[in-house]
Amino acid sequence: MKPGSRPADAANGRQRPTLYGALRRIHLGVALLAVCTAGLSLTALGLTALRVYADHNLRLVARSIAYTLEAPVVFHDKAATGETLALIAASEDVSRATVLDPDYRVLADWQRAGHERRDGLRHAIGELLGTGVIEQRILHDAKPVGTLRITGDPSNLLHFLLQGALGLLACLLLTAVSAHYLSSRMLVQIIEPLRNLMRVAHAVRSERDFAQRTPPARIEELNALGDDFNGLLDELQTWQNQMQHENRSLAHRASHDSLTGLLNRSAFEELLEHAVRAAAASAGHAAVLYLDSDDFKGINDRFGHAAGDAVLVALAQRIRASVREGDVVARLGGDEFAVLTTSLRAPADAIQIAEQILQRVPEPVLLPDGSRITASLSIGMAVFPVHAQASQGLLDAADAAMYGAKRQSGGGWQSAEPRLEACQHQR
Amino acid sequence: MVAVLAIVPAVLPPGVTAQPAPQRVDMVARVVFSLLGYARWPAERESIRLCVDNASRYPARLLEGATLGNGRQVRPREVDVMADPVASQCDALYLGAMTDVRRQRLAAELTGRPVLVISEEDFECETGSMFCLNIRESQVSFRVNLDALGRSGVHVHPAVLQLGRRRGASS
Repeated sequence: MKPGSRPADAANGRQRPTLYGALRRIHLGVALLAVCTAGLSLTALGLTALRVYADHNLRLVARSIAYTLEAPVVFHDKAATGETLALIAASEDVSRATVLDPDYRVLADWQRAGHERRDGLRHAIGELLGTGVIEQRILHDAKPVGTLRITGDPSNLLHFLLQGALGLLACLLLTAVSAHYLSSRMLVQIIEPLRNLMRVAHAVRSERDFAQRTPPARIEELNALGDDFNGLLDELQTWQNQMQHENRSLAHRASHDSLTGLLNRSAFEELLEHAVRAAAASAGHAAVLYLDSDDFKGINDRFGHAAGDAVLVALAQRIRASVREGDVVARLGGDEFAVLTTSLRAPADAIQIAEQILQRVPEPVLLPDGSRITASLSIGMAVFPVHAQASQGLLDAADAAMYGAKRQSGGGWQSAEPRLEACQHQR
Repeated sequence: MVAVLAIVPAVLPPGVTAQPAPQRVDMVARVVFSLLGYARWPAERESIRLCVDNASRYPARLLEGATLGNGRQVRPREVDVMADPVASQCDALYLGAMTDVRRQRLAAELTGRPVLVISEEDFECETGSMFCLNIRESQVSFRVNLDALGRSGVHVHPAVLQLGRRRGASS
């Protein structure tokens, strides 16, 4: 599940930036700023240095040419001047060199082939890089005998600059890529534990899934946070389990009889109400058997209350064992029990259940003191919709029938009016 | 009179065509003085005694003298090479055209003496002369005879020797 789609965010209307996005933007900004600052300052520094060196180099070239040209200029030897000039200038970054005599007449003029026309860009860059026109006096015995005027050729410099710029660009790119990679790795180390925390917290809140735990993180603080969170979850899980257990036992106690473990009267009446309604809706049957121990007061008096309890527990077990799994067995109070069954094909089937129970009852009950006694039960039964239309009426009818059975002889069963055995015989 | 005046312009052109001569004189003087400026004698003097052959073709400017770039004075003197004792009285000698016999004689006299010999017309430049001028329409160049120069004991700046040798190689 995507954590961003929380209801709170949806209500907010606009998407909040994720931590990853925010950190990433900051990292990108810092990296770009650093790289650009470094790149720009390096470029400026490099250009300045280059400019100074280019200028210096051109002056050096001018001096060396001037020195070499001294004798030819003194002798006004135009041919020698031209040849010497061409010889030196051709191997240097010079695009044009002119030698003038003291009266500013041209003695020799040399121009690099293919550079007769200086285009605007080249000229502008030449100006920018300080490789403009340089004048150098030619001295003989400390007296000027002529002037050398040379113009720098920025081609090589331009080439170098271009390569430098490309190299710089490549370096910047490499820096950006590695910064991105490292930042991504760090981000993953920060974001992943936080996402795990968020996922677990969300699972706990929305699904009550206390079993989830955050995995360990690489970063110390996040790991400690995760550990504490897990510890908190441990406690929450224990607490939750305990509460659930207590709730279950409370619910059990509220609906069950503590001695026999059977349902109590209120739970039975509730279930009976449901069963009657269901039977009414589906045109089915619901039978209630009202069971009462014969002479229970006498057992209590003669053998004590512990014996009475043992007899009740034994009776409860036998009743439970005699009916089907889906049937409801309850202790209504004192020595009174009730059975609710809805799985009847015909109302008279209730008789079979009563007889099954009565078959098991006569077995002797082992008392706590080791002696054995025999208990007996009287059963009264009523079937919806034959004997009553409501749950309370059904229970009352079964109760009345039970008293009828007790009055006859005890240890037997009796149906409410009309008699079920009559229905059985009619069939 | 008017006719004479009218003729003058017609006469003038030949004079104008003769005009290069003074220029050549200038160029020769420049080369000779430059050579002197680049030369160093074993025994340095305040001034340089330049002897100009009275048979030379462009002596005019040379005889005017000059102050060299290094501050030395050039003191020119016209001499008769065959009569005057040039070896002891000249530091530099500017020679005009002469026969091989005379040249050899002179060379024998000057051998071992620190005298810078510059020849106006010596195409071989093999005997006696150290620098041989090559005077053309617009340019005066020279060749250098390293043997003679070496023997004389006069030092000349290597740049000049290179200039002379380069010219020698090309011509």
